[in-house]
Amino acid sequence: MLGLPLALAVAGAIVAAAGSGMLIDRFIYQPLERRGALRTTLFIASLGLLILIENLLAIVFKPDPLRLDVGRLADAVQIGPVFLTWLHLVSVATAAFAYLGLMAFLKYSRWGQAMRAVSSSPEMARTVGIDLRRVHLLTYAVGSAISAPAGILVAMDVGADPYRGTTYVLLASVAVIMGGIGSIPGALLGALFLALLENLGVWKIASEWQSTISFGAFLIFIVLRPRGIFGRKIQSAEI
Amino acid sequence: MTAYLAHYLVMVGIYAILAVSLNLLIGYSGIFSLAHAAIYGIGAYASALVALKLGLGFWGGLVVAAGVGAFASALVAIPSLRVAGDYYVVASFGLQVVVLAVFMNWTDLTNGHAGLPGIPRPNVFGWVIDEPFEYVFLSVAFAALTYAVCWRLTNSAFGRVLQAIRDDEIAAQAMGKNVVQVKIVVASISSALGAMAGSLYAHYITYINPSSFALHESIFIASLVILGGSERLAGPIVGAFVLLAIPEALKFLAIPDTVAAPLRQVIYGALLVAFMLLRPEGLLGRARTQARDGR
Repeated sequence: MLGLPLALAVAGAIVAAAGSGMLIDRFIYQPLERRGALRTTLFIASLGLLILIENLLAIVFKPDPLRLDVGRLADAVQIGPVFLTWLHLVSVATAAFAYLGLMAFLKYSRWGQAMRAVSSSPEMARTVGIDLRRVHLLTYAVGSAISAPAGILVAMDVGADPYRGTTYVLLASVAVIMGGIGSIPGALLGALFLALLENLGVWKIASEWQSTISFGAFLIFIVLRPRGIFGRKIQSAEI
Repeated sequence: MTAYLAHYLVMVGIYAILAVSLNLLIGYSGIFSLAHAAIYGIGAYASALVALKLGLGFWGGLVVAAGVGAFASALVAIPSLRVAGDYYVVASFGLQVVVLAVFMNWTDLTNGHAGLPGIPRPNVFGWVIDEPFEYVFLSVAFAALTYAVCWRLTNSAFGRVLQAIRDDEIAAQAMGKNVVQVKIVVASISSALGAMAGSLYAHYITYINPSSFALHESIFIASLVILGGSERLAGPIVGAFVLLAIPEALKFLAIPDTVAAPLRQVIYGALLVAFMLLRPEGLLGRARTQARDGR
């Protein structure tokens, strides 16, 4: 729409995503947390936000998909017997970069270590002087920022439309649970597994049934291994 | 004008059934389901198909709908309620997506996007109900029946076990209650009632298609419960009266259809967020003890 170069657009998208994540945390989740709201209350607020934002986007941008013109990225490449587009390779590279970057951030940076400390024991983290509210804010910023490249890739591949997000929320939650909540390698494996399953499934079954395949696998999975591939055992009392 | 008011009251009755039955899960058992619209749709499709293909009447359709609804819900509840509650949210979200995919893609049975037209009006002991004001009686009668069933259930020993599970699952388990079994039973009852609402809807509108049973509908039904107040049985009914009046009010403003539909959703979303911040117990609720240590 504005005709800005792609690099600027990507940076803008990441900043916008991180910013909105922080705003939501600062003005909605943190006030709720401070009041000691029940977990369900937080969940309902997030559900409200989901439909609020989705439909605001629909009003502003109209419901038809917006597609990013990718130019030469749509050209095909052949690697051995496999045909891919450059965009596919860029997607894989982006995912690898985001994954390694996040792992390094969590492992080596001060703030990443603080996040892990809060995740494993909020009380202990507070005792050693970690500011829980700032860690929360940062977590939302990082989590939201990482979702921006995924959004851009979707816009390049199939186009962005306001209601697409919900499907991805479902698939991402399924991947996280399959991998084991709290495990980033698990989430990656979960996502890989789902993607493989859906695409192998399409080989034999019509593509409309993709979501059905993932969900069926999910139900079987939680019966066999409710804690996920790498997760700790989770009890409702902990949650 | 009377026809208009009658239509509003019929829909309030149908949504009251949906919301009161969903509240058995949300308010009384602490299980959050995002699949109630799918269950509602299963009820509508089951009774429409039974009427169109097998020629069974209204009552037959109602019984089949309740049975299929309870079965579908148990199918998801049995694996997912064995583990923590958060899984059920995702599992029910998934059920919603899959059921909608079935409505849209199993075209031999459901006729896909085009939907099923020509569903007959109910014949209640020889009385064919085809006027909207007559349908008000039917809809309100079923809403009252649902309310009575839920009242009886929540005020019984079973209801007290439910609330014990909601408040402290581990303690309930320690008291020797079969937590998983109780949850699966309540999910099935809630779904049987919700599917009945679908049956009423199908015979009232006489035409159904998948778009009436999508995810936003599930969120809408949950909003009725939350905004009305999930701590009381009557809360969701108040929610149905209030929230169903919003689109009617919007009709008086000259807004094009393409904006009105998302605008309605924006209003519901904003209401959900605002209520969580300002009045999480809902319009008719009493505040549950909020302070819990370690949060």
